[in-house]
Amino acid sequence: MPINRQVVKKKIAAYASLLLDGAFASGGQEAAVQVRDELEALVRYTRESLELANALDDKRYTPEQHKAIMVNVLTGLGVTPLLVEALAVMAQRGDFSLVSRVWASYTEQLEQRFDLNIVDVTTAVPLDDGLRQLISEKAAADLGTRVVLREHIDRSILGGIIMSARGRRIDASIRSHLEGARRTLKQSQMEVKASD
Amino acid sequence: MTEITAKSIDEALRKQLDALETSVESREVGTVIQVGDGIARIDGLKDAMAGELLEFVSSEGHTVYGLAQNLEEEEVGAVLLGEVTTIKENDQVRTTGRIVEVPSGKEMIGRVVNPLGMPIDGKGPIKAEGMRPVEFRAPGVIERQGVCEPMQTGILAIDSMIPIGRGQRELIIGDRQTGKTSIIVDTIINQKGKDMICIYVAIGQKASTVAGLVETLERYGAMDYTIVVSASASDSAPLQYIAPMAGAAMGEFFMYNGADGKPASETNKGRHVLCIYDDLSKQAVAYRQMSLTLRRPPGREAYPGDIFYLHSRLLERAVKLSDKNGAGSLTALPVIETQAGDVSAYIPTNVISITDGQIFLVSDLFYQGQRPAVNVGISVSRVGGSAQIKAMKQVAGSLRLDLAAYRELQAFTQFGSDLDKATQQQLNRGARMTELLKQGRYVPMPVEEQAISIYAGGKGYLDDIPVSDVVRFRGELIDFLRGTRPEVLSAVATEKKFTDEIESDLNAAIETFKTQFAVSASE
Repeated sequence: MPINRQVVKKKIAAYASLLLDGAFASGGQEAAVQVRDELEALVRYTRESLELANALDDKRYTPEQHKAIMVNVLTGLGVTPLLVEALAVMAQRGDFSLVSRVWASYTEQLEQRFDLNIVDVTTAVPLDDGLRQLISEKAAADLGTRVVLREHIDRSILGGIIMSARGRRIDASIRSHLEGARRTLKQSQMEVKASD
Repeated sequence: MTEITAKSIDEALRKQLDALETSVESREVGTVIQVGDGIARIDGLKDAMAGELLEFVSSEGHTVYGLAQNLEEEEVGAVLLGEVTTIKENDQVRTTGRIVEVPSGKEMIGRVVNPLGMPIDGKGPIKAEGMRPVEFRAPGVIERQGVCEPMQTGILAIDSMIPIGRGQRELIIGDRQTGKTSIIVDTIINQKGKDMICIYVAIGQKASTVAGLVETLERYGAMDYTIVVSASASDSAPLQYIAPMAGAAMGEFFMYNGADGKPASETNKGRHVLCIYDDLSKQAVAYRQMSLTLRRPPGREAYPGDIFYLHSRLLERAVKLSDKNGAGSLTALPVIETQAGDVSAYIPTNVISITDGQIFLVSDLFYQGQRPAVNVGISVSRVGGSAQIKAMKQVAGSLRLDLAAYRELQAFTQFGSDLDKATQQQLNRGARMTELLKQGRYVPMPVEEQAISIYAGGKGYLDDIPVSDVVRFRGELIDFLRGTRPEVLSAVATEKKFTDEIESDLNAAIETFKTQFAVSASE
């Protein structure tokens, strides 16, 4: 029987709220942000892991077995115990497919509760304190709230910076600039050929 | 020869580098949740628009474009165009703020392109004058005028009884192997020197078939005013889906712009375009495949609920613009392939109801040797006489009546000897008129020759000619007129009607010709 989407929304919000309360109780804002990062990594992992998705979808397994599968997988990944427990419950109740929406709701609630914005910053080399300060100030001015930077290192961007917040992204990486240059040069080369 | 110096190289490079975009802007980004069957489900992109072009960036750095189709509460369903296998889960997707556009302009003429406007004929890149959106709102009532000019196909059976006007939508429908594409090729060939740009959109056909068609068009010099858009059977469903819209967009460029490339107006006339969609049943199948993989609910014959809207908004783009808007036109000839003559299937009934008439091609007639195998009894053009020259109107009325009477009486032919003389005469006339409509491939007839042929039949000049000699009689009569009485042909062409004087000249010429026409020995 189809479930009302409002009910599903409430369910997602409840999972997210429980996780946030648990995380905050265990270590304050820093722990809450840490759980958000881990949850994001898990969402990416589950999207790529077809075996896990199939196992959790398999009706031949009992809810308890689904829970056990989830506990085994997450323990192997070294995830925070709170997250293991919450996701195991979701798997047991057949709600694991909602995990990416739980992550989105969790981030929203986290930002609301602490009146901040989480900004993901990707650079090719680690940020130094000065740059970190500069980025924080710039982002805070743009977004109008306190910001928490989540730093990621990705050498493939070659240089520059990529910043993401509230579903939008500013890509000022060397890689994307080079890609833009490649396209422009290719386009103008094609135009020259065509005019010949 | 141009001298290449360090300075010229420096200048060329600087010019190219000036075009580089160095600014950084904030863009909405989503993530691919699931990908497969040419479809991607995307998390994020809350501001994506229906039909918006999305940019997928693979982990290896490849860029693939997609089309936002399903805008759901939590995710966006998109179809991928191009190298679908390079995109994987967790790859990033960006909105572009624009819908799919195709290059358009005079440079496209004579080229074979894919539905994205990229050349596939090996003749090098195309420097297009502009880009046009594949989805474009059809002009409203005020911007149009009634269809008033004929679009001659050069096919006697069609131009006489099912006239097509510039800006009309005339469906060509029939089973496989009934000569649908032949009619189209003849129509394109006949547009030579008639200021018409032809766009042939091949959907879901074999690439070899399209290559053969292009070769034929080249042989008859028709590629000089034709663009071929090909989404072959091996192309993905989304490409087959956008192909007709891309063809229409390329055509609209000529209609909305004058010969100088500037917007058409009262003083700067728009061009005339003929757009052929061969065939829309395959586009419907591609759209069904896309919709089912996007998990849209299936309706009749598993087609999605908006399949009618898809075809109606495409065909509504066929238009005859008002004089104020440049008086350009876009004539649409959609093709539908039926299964075992079943015109009551979903897609045929939809397209029949959308178009301004249909040309029915029938297998039985085809195998009886009646080619083009047009069933004139059930074919119709709802624009009718306003798309015909007066000369054709004068003679075509009697042709329709003769053929209708013939069909009615045909059932009695088996009792031939018991029929009265008048009935026998009607059957006799009908058989000859039916024979007169036979026409070979790639030999379109100018409208004055068509009118004269029908005139000869209608006036009874064929009644004593054996049926098997009718086509030869027609050809030789035209040759005779060209050779000895060209003024009669040119008078019909210029006057566009049969005046008393033309009629008497023509009667005399036909009678002279008849005296020298040799009937075949076998009869």
